[in-house]
Amino acid sequence: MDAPVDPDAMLMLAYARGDLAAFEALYAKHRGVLYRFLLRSLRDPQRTDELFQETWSRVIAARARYQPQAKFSTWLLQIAHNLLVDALRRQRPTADGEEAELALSRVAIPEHEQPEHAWSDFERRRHLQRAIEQLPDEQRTAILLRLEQELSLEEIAEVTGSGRETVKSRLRYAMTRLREALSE
Amino acid sequence: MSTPLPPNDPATPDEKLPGEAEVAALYRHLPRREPGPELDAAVLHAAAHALGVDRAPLHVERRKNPRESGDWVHPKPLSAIKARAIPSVDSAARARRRPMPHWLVALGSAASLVLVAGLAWHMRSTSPASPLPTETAAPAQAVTLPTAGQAADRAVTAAAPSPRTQATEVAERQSTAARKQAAAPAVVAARMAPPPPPVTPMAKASLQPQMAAAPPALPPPPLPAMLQAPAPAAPPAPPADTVAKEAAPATAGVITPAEELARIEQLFAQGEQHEARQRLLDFHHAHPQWPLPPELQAKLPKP
Repeated sequence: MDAPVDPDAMLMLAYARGDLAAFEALYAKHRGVLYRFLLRSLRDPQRTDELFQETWSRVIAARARYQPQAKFSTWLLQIAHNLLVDALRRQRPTADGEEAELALSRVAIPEHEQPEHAWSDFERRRHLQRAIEQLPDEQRTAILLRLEQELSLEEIAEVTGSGRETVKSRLRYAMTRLREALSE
Repeated sequence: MSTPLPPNDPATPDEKLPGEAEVAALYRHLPRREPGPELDAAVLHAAAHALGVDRAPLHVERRKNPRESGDWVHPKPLSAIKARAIPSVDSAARARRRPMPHWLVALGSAASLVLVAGLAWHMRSTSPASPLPTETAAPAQAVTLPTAGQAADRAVTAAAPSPRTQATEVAERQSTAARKQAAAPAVVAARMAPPPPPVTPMAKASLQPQMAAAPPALPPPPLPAMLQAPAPAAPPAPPADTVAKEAAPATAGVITPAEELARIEQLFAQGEQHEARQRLLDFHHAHPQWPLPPELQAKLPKP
């Protein structure tokens, strides 16, 4: 049975053949989710920018030897995750809870979603955001890949280099903490 | 006895975790931050640069209002990009090649010219003498001893092969009259002429009858005929004068250093010590690297 063709992989192959428009389409599709994944993991906009650019630089550099053995998004997140682990290992002080909250809250929120308009939702999102930040790195990565990218357990396992059951366990723990935070 | 493992089929959809739907819905309402336009431009520029495509200068759209959800600067459409075709390997290599500095071109040209001139000078001084045009004009007469007047006639003939005009006949008659006056003016003319250094002694030596009678098979010394042309000494004969001036440089390069040495030895043998010594000195100045026979070496003045 032939594996379904990943259209993103086709775009990547087209870019490897010199089609710049293919890369632009690929970039437009994945830029947001990749950026948010990095931002919520690092909680540092400046380092997020660096890792975001580095991730795409590696994609560009690897275009000639790219083999569509997995979904493009999985491969892209794998690169980003490896860079993320290296960055976290360097033990650079990350923003603490208040600072991270401030950094993430700088994101403009539509006016109709401002606190005075939807106070309860705003509070719930704030609790969720803080709870995600306070998760251990592995659980946070797993839950972000699940919520942001909607990856399956196998895909998360592939991205993070962990076993399926390990990912499942991390997700369970993470989800429990998030639910507790929301119920407070 | 074994315990059956739980099914682990990747094709089966993951079961939702408890409370996942609620958390996911709330998560989707979190602010959705996007990379900035500078970051977009940098990534797209890197992608284009990797393909060798010159994108337009980074076009950054400056935002005046705060960013809104889902608002991002889209990459420019392909039609807006002045993308060239991917250059070939040759053109890329040519583009990478650094341009050669102008001074290097000039220096190379000058060095080539010096090399060519040096080679020509070397070949000229070492190559065997080639037959002269004057000899080809009158090869049969080389057997007989040419007099100064005959040589002048031959020179005139060689220089003016066209049918004789009345003016040339008059000039020839005048040159013949001058020829009869004396051969000495010819020698004076030869001494006063400014030939190259080896030529002046040759002109003097050519006055010797032995040298003039050299066999025609050898590199012929027709120089005497040319230099003995009475043209300079006969002002009323302008055609002969012109011929002598033109012919002199043509014969200057005929004498090889070996011949010159032979003539110097002959001069020593004939007792013309002063002339021979002077020519030997000139020769040694002109060809300092030329190996001299011991007897000639002994006659050189000690430094």
